[in-house]
Amino acid sequence: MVPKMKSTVLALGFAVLIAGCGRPSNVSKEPDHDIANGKMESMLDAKPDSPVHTIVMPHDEPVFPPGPGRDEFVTACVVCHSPRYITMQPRFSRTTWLSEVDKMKDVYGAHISDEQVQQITDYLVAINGQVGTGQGPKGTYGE
Amino acid sequence: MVAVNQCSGNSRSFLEPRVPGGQWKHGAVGNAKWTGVSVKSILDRAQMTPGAVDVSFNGLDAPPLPSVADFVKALSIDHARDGEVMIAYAMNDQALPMVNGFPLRLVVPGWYGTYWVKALSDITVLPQAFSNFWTDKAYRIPNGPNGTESPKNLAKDTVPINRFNVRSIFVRPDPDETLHSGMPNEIEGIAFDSGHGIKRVEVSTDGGATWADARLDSEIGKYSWRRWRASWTPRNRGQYRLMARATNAIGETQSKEQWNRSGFMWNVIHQVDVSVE
Repeated sequence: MVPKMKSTVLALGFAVLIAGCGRPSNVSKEPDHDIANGKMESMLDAKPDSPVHTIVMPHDEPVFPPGPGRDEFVTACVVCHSPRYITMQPRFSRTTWLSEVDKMKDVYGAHISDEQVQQITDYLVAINGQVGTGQGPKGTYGE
Repeated sequence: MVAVNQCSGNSRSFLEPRVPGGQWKHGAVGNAKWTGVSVKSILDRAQMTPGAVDVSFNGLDAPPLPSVADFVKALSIDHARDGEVMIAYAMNDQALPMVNGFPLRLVVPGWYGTYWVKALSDITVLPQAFSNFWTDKAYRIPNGPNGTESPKNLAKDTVPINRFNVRSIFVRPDPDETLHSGMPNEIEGIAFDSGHGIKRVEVSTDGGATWADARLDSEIGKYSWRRWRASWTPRNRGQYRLMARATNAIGETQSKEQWNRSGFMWNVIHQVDVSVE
């Protein structure tokens, strides 16, 4: 598995090399997705004497505890987010979690229904929620 | 040029109340030597017509869903042409690593990392103010001192995040490290701001009651961080709270409170609790 992953990444690196600064229209944009993800979650595997840069994707086994709405959560959220990004969040009120999930649907266009918004919020509150109905901060945009 | 690059949300996990987002401790920052060409020299060669307002910068990265706005950022024409904003092709004398923006990235010294567009592919000079999601909605701070607001009184007026505020960070000791009484313990850290330069770092070993100047290493460059050191010989065993406070050349310093809804620009005086045995 690992060698295969590595050769794929090598090929992507080559695609970027070709794309360079001009972004020729015949170069698929697909590799960019993978590279963008690689930037977020990879560790650098630098080989100073090689002109080819490689990145090795760290193994990040998703561990999501059981809870209501888990299936909807896993299906919808991991499309964009690394599992660790979600489980690293502190405990938030339902207000805060709901505003986060609403943001994903309304602002970023996540493919989820209103019902799934509630189910995913249920799950986030179950695994990482606060007791009570505190208002809590609402989500904003940007890292 | 040696310049600090810091995430807008560095140290977000220390906000109280906590806010959503990447739960950084103090590590979303780095200092490196950047080599490249100034954006000014490129714009001069392009022979712009008069009337430019903003310059936008796009990279090869694409959003994970088509409904998400492409990540593009912009600087004012005067900022882009200040001769310091750079298109870097090397970091620490080597080609940029993939994770740092290979093959080219924008370097915006003194400004938060959101402007340092990676894998730079397009530069567009605009006759009007730039507008997109990542500027109009995202990466905004309260339009007030130090980007601060309170949870119960959120700022109505916001502006795009911009220059670093001043801060200092302990490198040694680690939190919960055990130090030794009756002998010198070496303390060190870093301090930086948006380019005015660090003039003073003070260290407290009694939770902020008294302060003493740390020794500053020589300045590498105005956009570099500056290392500082102190030696501390505690007489007695016990629990101590160490604090570090930086001041820059125009007198800006750090305080005990800073908060905004996005968790940007945290620069509260850094404290580390240690045991002395």
